[in-house]
Amino acid sequence: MNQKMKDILRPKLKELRDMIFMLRRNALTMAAVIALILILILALLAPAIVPYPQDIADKTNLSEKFQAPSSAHLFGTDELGRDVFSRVLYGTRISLSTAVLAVALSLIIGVPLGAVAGTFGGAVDEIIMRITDIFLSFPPMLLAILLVSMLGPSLNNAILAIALAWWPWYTRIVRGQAISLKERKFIQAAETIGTPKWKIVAKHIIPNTISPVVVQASMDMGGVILTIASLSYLGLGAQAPSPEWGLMISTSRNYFPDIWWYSVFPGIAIFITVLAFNLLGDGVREILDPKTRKK
Amino acid sequence: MSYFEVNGLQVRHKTAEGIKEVLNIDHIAIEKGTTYGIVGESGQGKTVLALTILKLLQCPPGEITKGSILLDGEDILTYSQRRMQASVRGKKIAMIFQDPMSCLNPVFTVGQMLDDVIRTNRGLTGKEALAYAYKVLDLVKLVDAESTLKKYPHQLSGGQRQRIIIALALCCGAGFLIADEPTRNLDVTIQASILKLLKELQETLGITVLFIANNMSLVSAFCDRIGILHEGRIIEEGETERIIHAPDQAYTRMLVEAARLHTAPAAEAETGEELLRVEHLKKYFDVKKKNKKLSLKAVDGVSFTLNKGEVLGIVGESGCGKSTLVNTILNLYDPTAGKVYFDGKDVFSDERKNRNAFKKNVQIVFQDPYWSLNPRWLVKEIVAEPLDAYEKLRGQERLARVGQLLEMVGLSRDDAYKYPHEFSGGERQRIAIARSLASNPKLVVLDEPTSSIDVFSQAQILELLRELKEKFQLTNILISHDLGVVSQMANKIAVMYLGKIAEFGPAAEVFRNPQHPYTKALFNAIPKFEKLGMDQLTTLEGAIPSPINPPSGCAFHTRCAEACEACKSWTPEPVYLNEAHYVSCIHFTERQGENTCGKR
Repeated sequence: MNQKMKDILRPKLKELRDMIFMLRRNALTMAAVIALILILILALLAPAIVPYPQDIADKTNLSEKFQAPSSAHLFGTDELGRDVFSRVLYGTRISLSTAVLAVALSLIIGVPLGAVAGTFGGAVDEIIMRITDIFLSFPPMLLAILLVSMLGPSLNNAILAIALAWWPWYTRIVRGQAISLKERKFIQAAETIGTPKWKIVAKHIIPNTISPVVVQASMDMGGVILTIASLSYLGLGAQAPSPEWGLMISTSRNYFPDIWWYSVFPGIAIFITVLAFNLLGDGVREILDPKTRKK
Repeated sequence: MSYFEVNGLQVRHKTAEGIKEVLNIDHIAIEKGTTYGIVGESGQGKTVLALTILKLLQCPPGEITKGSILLDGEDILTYSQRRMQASVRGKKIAMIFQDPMSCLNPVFTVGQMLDDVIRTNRGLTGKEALAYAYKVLDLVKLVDAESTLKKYPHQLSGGQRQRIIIALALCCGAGFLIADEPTRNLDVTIQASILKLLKELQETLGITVLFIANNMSLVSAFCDRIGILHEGRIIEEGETERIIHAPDQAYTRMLVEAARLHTAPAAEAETGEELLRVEHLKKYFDVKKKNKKLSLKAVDGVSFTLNKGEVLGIVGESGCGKSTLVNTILNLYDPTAGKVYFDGKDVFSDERKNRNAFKKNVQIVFQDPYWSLNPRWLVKEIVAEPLDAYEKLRGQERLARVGQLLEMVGLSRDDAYKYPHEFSGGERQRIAIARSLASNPKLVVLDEPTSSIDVFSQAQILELLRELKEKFQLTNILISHDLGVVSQMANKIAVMYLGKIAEFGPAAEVFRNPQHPYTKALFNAIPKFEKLGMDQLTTLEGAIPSPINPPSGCAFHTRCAEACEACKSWTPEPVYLNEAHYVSCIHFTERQGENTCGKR
């Protein structure tokens, strides 16, 4: 059994080694990966490491409000005397988890629809793709705003709205992939074997569309984080007292520019995270796309 | 001192795994005006040699470590790139590349391409260049030069494109020509005509040719001397006749054996009752051309029966409908008309039970094992796919069956935990064969099973297929453009032309004594080892006509050497020569006194 496990793991390990090799040749991607790993660790450990855990909620300490950055409060304090550093750090958790949820949700909607449309073709394809077109004809931000205002403002609804605005992109990618995969001989082989159609879609088509989907998803992460922050900024996403970055900036704008630290630090957090995800997306594309892969 | 010499050439490649030696050639010498063939399988360094001679090798990763290449006594390896460009490439050495589909730039017309080459290499312009272009096109026997000059590459057939490439090579007036598999991917009939043309040009213009090929049959007909390239070394070299009839090396013997046409076909198998009956099967595809709806008659009325234990070989040029016929029989395409009975049951009926039984009993092995296996599945999943569809085995039981299947095709049980990309082409084809046998089928369709794997594995795969056929009493349909492969396996032959069967009969009879003019042309386009030289080859001019608008009467009359007036209007019916052998040709009808035709 041990040998078997090794046999299973060996090719995976090789793939991993190849990937690390590719990563190391691209300094920017490597930097992005390191930054994201750090951000992830911070997010995971946030409850344990923030200096003022009670400031995450709506604890008020008006005597310490609007203090400039100092050794006690690295990023200063806000209008209720809460530690901005603690809140920004904790906000990482919110942004990352909501972005992952939103992207995952749109993948769950988009990928199967695309695979079905591409594989079956004909009327099924026509119906699915026309619905997709309707969704695509709105700017995703506008659509998300529209949906949240219909559903009522909350972070969960924002996630749902973003997923509903984002899935058509994945449907398109997967459909295109499925159409070309359909012509591959192993699909024809599966058909002659008598494998049921749903199984062909689930086991042959979808796993083979993973690469471009992963690329698109990792590039979208940045955009989704930005959209969530924007929705919260508009009051449609996270609600007070949540330490969501967009919401913090929204509240801070009343005090800007005198209390600059209140806006700038959440802004920097958004900037770094989005940049890291975008660089990662580019890097992943380079790694997964055989055209840019050099032997 | 020979006209062209390679001495002690060493080429290495730097890869992630380290430095690899790709070429290590002690000595090659080619006399002026002769032809020299380099034979080797893919990956043995043939193309690297050609590129090294022209100094077009990518360096890095390539690196020429030592050696010399002498042309007319001068070492061209020491030349600078600029000097190579100015005085060697095109001027002294020209090259014909292997893929006529991709080495012509699709945005230029033939005329523009020729003009460009003539201007740079001959210094002619305007009318003079045009006149020269006509002359060259005439040399490569392209009829209707005027319209050809205005055409884009996609408007030409494969054979025409290869002629254009030869014309481009000739324009420069080089005395030394490197032909790197010039007929790869072309049908045997076109292959023969291109080879004949090259030979003729070589003789009339006195060119020296270095001919690179991956199998012996072409080289044996074309070349005066042959060198066998294996793992970057010339392992054997000599006169063509000597190499073919008395090869020293085991590897050479294998190459020769693989190319030999087995005119004594597979032993007559014991055949049982009828298994498959195809009746007037038609498959038309709708195509839109300039807003007109046309139908492409890919399969146009095919009927035959196949008994248990038989192997039917279907042969014909590409585009003749072989694959469509099989795909329609397999129900991958909806038939336009006709019936297929398997074990006496109608396959196209709506009864689910019939369909499922048919799918379980009929499996297919595809041509290209690189695309026919899902790259993201473990071998164990791939082989078990039919099991999951029919037998619903679980856990250990399923694994045991997969192991058994893998061992049956000569792989090991542990291979179950590997991915397809970890195997060689031959091994992948074994996996595909294991999969095709998993549901215990009665009929296995082999769609060019060996044409994308190298010669060595090819022989082994054929051996395996024969073995399995015996063991499981399989019935096979074998599609192949390689008559050698067909002759080794089939005991019945169907020759297809434009969606119809031209000749159908027992393999032994058809191979020994082909009747239909098309069958004859097809067989005679393949060089045989008994006779050397090009004269043995007859050519079939022109490409296969479009199945959208096939010629009237007998579809083959446009290219047939024995065609007469009546062929243009009279559609031949199958004429039975004996119980199992029929030919669709007017000349045989005539013999029975039904029609008059001037010839014969």
